[in-house]
Amino acid sequence: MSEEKHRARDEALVRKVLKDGTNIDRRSLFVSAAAFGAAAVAGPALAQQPAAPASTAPAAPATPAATAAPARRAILKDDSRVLNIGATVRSGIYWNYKTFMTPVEEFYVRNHYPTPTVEQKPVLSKENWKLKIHGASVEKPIEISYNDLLKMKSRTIIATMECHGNGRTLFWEQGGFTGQEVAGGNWVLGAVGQAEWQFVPMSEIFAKVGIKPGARTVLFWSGVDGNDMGRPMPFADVVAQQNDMGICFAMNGNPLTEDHGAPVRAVVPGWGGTASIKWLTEIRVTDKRVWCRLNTKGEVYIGPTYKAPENAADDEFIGVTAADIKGPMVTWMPPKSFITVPLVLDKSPSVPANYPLKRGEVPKLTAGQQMMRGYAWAPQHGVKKVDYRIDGGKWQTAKILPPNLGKYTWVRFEFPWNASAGKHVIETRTTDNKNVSQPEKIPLNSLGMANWSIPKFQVEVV
Amino acid sequence: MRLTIACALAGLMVSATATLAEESNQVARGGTLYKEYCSLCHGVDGQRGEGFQTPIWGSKAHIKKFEHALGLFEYMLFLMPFDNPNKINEQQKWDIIAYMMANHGAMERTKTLEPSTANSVPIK
Repeated sequence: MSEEKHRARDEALVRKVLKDGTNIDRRSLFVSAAAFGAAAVAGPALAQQPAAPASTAPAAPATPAATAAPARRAILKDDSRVLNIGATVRSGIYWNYKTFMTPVEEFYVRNHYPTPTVEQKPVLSKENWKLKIHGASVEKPIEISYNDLLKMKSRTIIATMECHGNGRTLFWEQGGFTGQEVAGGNWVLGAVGQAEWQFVPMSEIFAKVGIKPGARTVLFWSGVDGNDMGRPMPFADVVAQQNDMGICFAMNGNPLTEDHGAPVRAVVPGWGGTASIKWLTEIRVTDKRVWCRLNTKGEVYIGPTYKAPENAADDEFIGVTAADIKGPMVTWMPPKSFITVPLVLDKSPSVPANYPLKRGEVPKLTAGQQMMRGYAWAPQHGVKKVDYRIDGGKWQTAKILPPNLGKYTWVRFEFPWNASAGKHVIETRTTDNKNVSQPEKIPLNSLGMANWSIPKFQVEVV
Repeated sequence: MRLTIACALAGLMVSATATLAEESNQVARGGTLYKEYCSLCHGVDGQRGEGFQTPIWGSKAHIKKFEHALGLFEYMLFLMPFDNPNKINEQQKWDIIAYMMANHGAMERTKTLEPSTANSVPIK
């Protein structure tokens, strides 16, 4: 075969793999985790695994000649309850959402590195875990244990958590952008969930350690999740929200699970998920502005309509340089909505592995009178109303189902539809309590952050 | 095939000392595997593709954080290919890493990367 044909064949194969998904033989992730410790599969075949029950310990490497890398779990989620986007990425199956609170088993997971385990990082056990709270602006630096944390005054908050990249799909499907212009995992709309988070507020922490005047940055850092997982927040933003954010140790009434940051994580309601640093080991408050990966070239808006912030001479850089500052960091997640219908994926570079629709396939609904349901949220100011329209007609107001708990939370909504046979497009639009509504289109940002444009759900009524 | 790849990458490699005839079997295999399993997201030239924007070798890459080839392997073992890390086996991942290390200038193209010494192949 000529070189051109080789390359064309290779490219066609890769496109097919990314388009249609590969995991036809893949069972739950428990099986895949075992595969990492098992003997290497000969040849580039799909791993053919029998369904196996969940194991609590990682499988031991089977081949003596295997690498020095320890067997680790990737993500402990049952792929029948979440959408498999990739190795460390599981989306909520949003078209099946029914409940006000999202069960942990159905909550999206996103890591940048494999979930760190107690076996590799002994500090993650409750007995060993320590949180260092220190920095140039801290009067009395401390190191607290898990038991210390549990003894402190805590509260719970009901809040959505959403990945910065949720809805990235809309850049490709609706925005007219290519996979080259906007890159990243194809979440569709399920990288969001709502939980009750139990945490010690930052107000308690600040009162305990004392903050000197001139504080500028609070850096939340994980010393065990890769080597660059930390998010600096402007001190003023933390203070503004200091009762509503903090050091979290429970989710929906239970201790955090491994994939959700056990034993302790930050929780920053309303900001993108990365701000809520998992496997938290350090909080540093400093009088300098701090730059690291997650506010320079990750979790930032990079695009022609965005101006990259400028650094000052005495700023602190961790693992990055001034040249890495590509755009302003994403802060509050904007107002959004969806109905519980899978989006058509046609132009996106990839289709998630266990997506219920093939590329280009339109979901089918039965004709007749029915209630359409959905979710809407506006973390910073709360949801005021949700509108919908069918086939580009008049915007009508959907009914919000109580409770509407306001900022940080989502609401469920519904509207009746007498669906006639044929193809239709349903759109939803949230308006928040500052009268900000989802727009038709949003400008290009190449990391595909925070797409809050009005989603268009194609359906075929039969 | 090798000629085209070598020419295409010449401008991006940190050090381009090997001639096209001098490429270890492993680096050659890694190149073929890379094209099949990696290039759609990371670009044929490793600089940018449909899945990921940041270069993965060369002067603009940010792979220094893996410290050495073993660190990169540990990452790839569990995370790559992005949609299904089971798609290729460990040896294939080592081959791809060898190809990446050669392109990044961390290793000579003529060499073979051994798992047992991968932690002494630094990534700068």
